[in-house]
Amino acid sequence: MQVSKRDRINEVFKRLRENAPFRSDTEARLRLVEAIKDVEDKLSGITENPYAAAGMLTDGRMYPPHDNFERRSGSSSVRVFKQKGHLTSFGKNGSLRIEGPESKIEIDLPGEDGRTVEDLLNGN
Amino acid sequence: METKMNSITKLQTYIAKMHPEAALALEEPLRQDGIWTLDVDLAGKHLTIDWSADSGFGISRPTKDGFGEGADEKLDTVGQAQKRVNQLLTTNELPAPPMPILLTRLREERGLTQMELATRMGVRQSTISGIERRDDVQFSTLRRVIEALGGKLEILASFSDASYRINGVPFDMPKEEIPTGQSFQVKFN
Repeated sequence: MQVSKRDRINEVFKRLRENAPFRSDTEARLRLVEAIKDVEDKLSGITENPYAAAGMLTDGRMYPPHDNFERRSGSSSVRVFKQKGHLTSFGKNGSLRIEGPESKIEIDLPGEDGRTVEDLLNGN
Repeated sequence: METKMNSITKLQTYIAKMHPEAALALEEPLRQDGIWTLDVDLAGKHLTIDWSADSGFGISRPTKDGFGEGADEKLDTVGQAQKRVNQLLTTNELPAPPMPILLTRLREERGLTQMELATRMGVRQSTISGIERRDDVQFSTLRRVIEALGGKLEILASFSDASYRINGVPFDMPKEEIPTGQSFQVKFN
């Protein structure tokens, strides 16, 4: 069954909200990877390209942020990835934030200690 | 590393020269072999351009639903990227992903499900699903889809010295059974 891209994105966000808070940036990233893979396997109708690397031509499927898209975040507590106008940030405390084009925040989950990505970027 | 910087900054310099009113933002990757990003904003038109020595240039229109996807278009050389970006910035054309993805995107951006589009065209939902998975679609099928989405399909034959709009393509599709040719066919009366 093919589900629209927006509905698939919303399903990924729903699963993340259900599973948060996460304990570390590694766990937050892993949960995002798992959610995207499972949702796309079940709902996209597009076979995963096992060789999909950063910078490929779109095949319509959603992939998790690749290391090649990592940027300097300005904080040693936050890792940030930029791809196709979206910023995906993982805080060392397990916080997670995804911003769409024009800085519209799509999801913003605090980490285990209650602090958000913005808190970490502000040094709080 | 120096070559990588030259390629993306060359494109940045070109755009700044051709479109001095454009807002440009170049971002360096954290990894040495990572992907650079150049954001271009000109009179409300936004483009995001990725580049690395390994993958070349990727040009996309940043949209809310583009999360996690690869580039809409790929180009190998800075010359090709300059030409394409200039074309996109001087016309109302938008970056176009491969056809099956483009058709899906056009439908979803117009808020239609496959079933709703199928109803408009008088075909089964599975027919629409099939069309959105194929790389090759007959011209007449493509035209029916575009018209059902509210658009108009046009073909342009472009040469180095001139371009020609191709007219007179017949609309010869049976209503229910849409053939699924293996090539992009254009028929003339």
